[in-house]
Amino acid sequence: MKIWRTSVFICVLWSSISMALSAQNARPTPRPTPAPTATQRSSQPDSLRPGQVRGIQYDASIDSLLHRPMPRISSISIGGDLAGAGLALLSNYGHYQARLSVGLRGRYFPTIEVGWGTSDRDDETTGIHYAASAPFFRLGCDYNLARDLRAPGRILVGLRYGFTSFAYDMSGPALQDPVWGDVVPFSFEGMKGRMHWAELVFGLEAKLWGFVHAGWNARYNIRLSHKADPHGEPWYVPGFGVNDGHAITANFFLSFEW
Amino acid sequence: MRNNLLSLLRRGCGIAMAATLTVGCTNIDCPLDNVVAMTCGLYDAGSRQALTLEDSLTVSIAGSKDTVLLNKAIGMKTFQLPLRYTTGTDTLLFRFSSATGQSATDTLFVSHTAAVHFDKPDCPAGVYHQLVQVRHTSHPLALMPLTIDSVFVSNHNVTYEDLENLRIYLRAVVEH
Repeated sequence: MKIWRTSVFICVLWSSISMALSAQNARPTPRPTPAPTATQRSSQPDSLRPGQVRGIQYDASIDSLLHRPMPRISSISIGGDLAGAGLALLSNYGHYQARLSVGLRGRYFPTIEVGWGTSDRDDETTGIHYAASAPFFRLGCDYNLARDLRAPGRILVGLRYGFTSFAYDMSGPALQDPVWGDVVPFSFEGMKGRMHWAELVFGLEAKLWGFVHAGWNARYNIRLSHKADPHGEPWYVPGFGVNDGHAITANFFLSFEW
Repeated sequence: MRNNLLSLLRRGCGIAMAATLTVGCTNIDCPLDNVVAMTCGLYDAGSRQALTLEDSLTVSIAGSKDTVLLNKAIGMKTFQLPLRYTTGTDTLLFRFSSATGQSATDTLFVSHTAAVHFDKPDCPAGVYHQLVQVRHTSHPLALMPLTIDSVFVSNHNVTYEDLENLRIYLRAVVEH
């Protein structure tokens, strides 16, 4: 059931981004050089006949634009993660996340990410219920690898530091002692946990329409330190994902950039 | 450049979709047996070396007529005993029997705490214990020339990990 819901969500995402990209490709391309007028025709030094010019005309001076310095604060972007929100709505864990990013000369993008991670899961086999819900914070910076800093797309690599402090609940069928026959209840609520982690980020970003940008990034999360209740580790950690020494997560974000 | 980026964006989404579907089929790594047991090692009180039991040993619960935790075990160096799911003191009877028909019983008092432990929702919960104190009795060697000499706690935490928790030193009398 989980795989099915995840597949449906990914397909919806895939369809939406395909439509967006189709729209992007449908935008008018730079117009070819117009046919010369009669006056221009008479002053043309070459032997081309009217209507024989094809393709896009480039100016050699464009190279100098690539090296023109960008403003110190080249952009300000706010956005949200659609993938995490979709997972939170359709599966048993996910997050709602917003981010603020400031472009420094088009190359560096210090980023703050704030979110609310949530999990509510009932295991059909064991009958165990797990729930956690808490805010999380990430701080980091992306680096734009693209040669042309003014291009509408970016190739980003980055680092993040993440932190969350949360409470989690776990309950299930009572345990029966197979030897002595005692019955022990299994219900724990409000157990405290916290985690610090680091993330390696790689992603792509493209301009869709005007100030609307979209993109995705994949993240390799490395747990730095954590604290859990003595009764057991949390299964899902808000912002980090399924609790382990490391985790791989992905974001699909939509942002507005000025 | 733009076309390349858009192409990469498309490919990335495809990879993410494939990765998500792949990750969806994860293995469940749970302990095969969720009964936590205390591991005991047998040692010779004289040489302090590991001892292989030549006489048989039966471990049962005091106050219970038919609950046997270890039945006439022989030729072993270690064995496992379950502990009660509730905090308290378990009273275990160690009955040594020889091939010549001699037998005697010692008592082991194991005081411990018990706490429910879970790993993840996929796996059944278990009960972990922490050993607080262990006491024992010894019988006269005239009854049976093998008895408990001393007991030490080598690892207080009784969990799924297969670590030795108790070192039981046995004293034997060699007949001349």
